[in-house]
Amino acid sequence: MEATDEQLMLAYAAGDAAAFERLYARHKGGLYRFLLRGIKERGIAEELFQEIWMRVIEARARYAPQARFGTWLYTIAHHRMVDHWRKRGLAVVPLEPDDPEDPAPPEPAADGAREPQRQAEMNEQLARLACALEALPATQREVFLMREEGGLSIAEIAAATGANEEAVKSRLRYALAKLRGALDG
Amino acid sequence: MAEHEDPELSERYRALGREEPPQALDAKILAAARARPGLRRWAVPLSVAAVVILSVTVTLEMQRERAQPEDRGEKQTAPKTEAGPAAPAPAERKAEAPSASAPAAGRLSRESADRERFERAAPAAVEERAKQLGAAESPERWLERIAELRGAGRDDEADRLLAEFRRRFPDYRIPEATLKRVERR
Repeated sequence: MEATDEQLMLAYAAGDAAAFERLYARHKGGLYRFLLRGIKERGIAEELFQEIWMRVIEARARYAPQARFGTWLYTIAHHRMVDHWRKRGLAVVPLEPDDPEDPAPPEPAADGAREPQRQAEMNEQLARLACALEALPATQREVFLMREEGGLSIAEIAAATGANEEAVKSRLRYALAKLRGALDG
Repeated sequence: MAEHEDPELSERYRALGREEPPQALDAKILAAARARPGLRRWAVPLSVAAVVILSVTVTLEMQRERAQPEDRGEKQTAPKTEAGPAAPAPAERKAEAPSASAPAAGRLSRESADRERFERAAPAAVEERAKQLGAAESPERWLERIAELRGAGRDDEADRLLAEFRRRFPDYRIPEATLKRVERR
């Protein structure tokens, strides 16, 4: 039977380096894309990615599986991203308003004549989706990415970001609506 | 829950790309992870022993100071056998002298004497004290110490301790009000 993330982390804490490699392989892609699309600057995203894993390595002796490993990992990631925004003098993620007043999503890129080919249409749709994702407020983008890349539940996202579940649901609802709007063109 | 899910959107999102971290980054993180378990066998017991010995030494010295207030101006030497290999660095020993000569022994609480030593300590001693804090103190106490350093204008020490705090408590959420007191302005 496949070991859980928590079992692998405990095995690593006990000195089994191979357990860390398996754990890393499971989460590296999701965390990397979470940072890449959350930060939007590859160099900084990679720097944070490395820092987060170093924190995991350093904290292994204190690791106690009170929550899913993924929740813990994305909690660390959230804190590092907040630190990053602060250093940049940008709005701190948890303080961003939670929405009803949030401006409507930007209009999708103006499209010209619709392409007849399905592939071209798909490409156009993806470009709009990428634009809309980039244009989301940081809180909404973070929640969406934690869901998609980390596979976190609403409760887990709430724990990782320090927001309450209702706020998380609201952010996710707005994010989905805007992204869906971009897809539908 | 359904209103927070959109399988078609998820599928389109995944089509945006499944970027992975570069191999060089993987290699760096995995090398760090492999290096740590080997070190851990001796490094952790050694650091625990060092913290215990240092704590005993400092406690004995402070007790002697309180018991012999008339000797406050004299330079005291700690028993070499107690200090052993984990004795504080010379810089820290020098740093202890000013607090020992401070006036009004009755008003100088053990905690403030301890803090003064800490604040005067050289970087190596700050690290050592950070180890002590980590072993015995709550995250809130750490933050209080950092805020005190920040308030005293000791930004470099506060930065170092804050960095150490984040290493030790990677998933601890620093309240906004506290953050303003511990971060460099």
